[in-house]
Amino acid sequence: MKRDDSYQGVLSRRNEIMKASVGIDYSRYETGIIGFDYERLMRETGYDLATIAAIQHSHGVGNTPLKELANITALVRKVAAPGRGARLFIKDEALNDSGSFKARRASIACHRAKALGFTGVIAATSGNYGAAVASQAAKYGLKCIVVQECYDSQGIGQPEIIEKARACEAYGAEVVQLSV
Amino acid sequence: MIAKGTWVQIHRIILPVGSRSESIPEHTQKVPFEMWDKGWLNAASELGSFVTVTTATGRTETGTLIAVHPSYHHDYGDFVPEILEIDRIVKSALYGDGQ
Repeated sequence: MKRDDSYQGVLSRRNEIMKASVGIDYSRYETGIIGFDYERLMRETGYDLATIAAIQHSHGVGNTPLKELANITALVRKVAAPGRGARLFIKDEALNDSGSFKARRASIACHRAKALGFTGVIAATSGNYGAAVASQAAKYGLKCIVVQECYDSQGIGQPEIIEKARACEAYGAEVVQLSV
Repeated sequence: MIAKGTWVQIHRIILPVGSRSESIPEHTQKVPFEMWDKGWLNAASELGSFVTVTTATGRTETGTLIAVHPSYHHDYGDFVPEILEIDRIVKSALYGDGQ
């Protein structure tokens, strides 16, 4: 029988495609009605926190600094009740390679793809995750395709998506742009 | 004539009106599903002709040739005067009105 490659056909095989490509059966870790056993998943797949941190750190990801927002804290205390108004800090995730926290997830995905012997990765995303995957793929020597939903029916593209396409191409990825 | 091997942008209708998914909004069903991609031109061609390119990942893709050495353009929108007032309020709150 010929494989059904229509939109509906591919979507109905989504779980088996995921299982075959990533090699992880996520349903094994579902518990109860809405529970998910992350600890068991990490233990059994070999991706404990220390391993993940090591993978990320060796590829320009993680270990981002905490910075105090002194001005914002001062402004909050102008209007907060006496004794209230916590000190505010940000963890500066823009300092990950590719400029966002999305590099954390992309780093593990590309590591996994390389370990399983894939020659490339693909992501459907219009934003920071595309840049993150493109950046990490370049580090691992993987080909990369980023598929963007980019233009409206008048052909007008959102500026941040256009800019992300430029970033992805600068990292060496192929960017396929689509209308909505 | 644009030489073979030139970096170009192509455009193609993937799904014409009438063959789009029924699960998308009615307004979106009334417009085609379009694709833009870039690659090296496989044979010398003219702008507006239907061409084949080799993409950055080595794939072969087809479409209408719409741009040579496609560039990137976007801007940050119109000036928003309210921002000046916000700036004045913040400086006044933090450092007093003399600033």
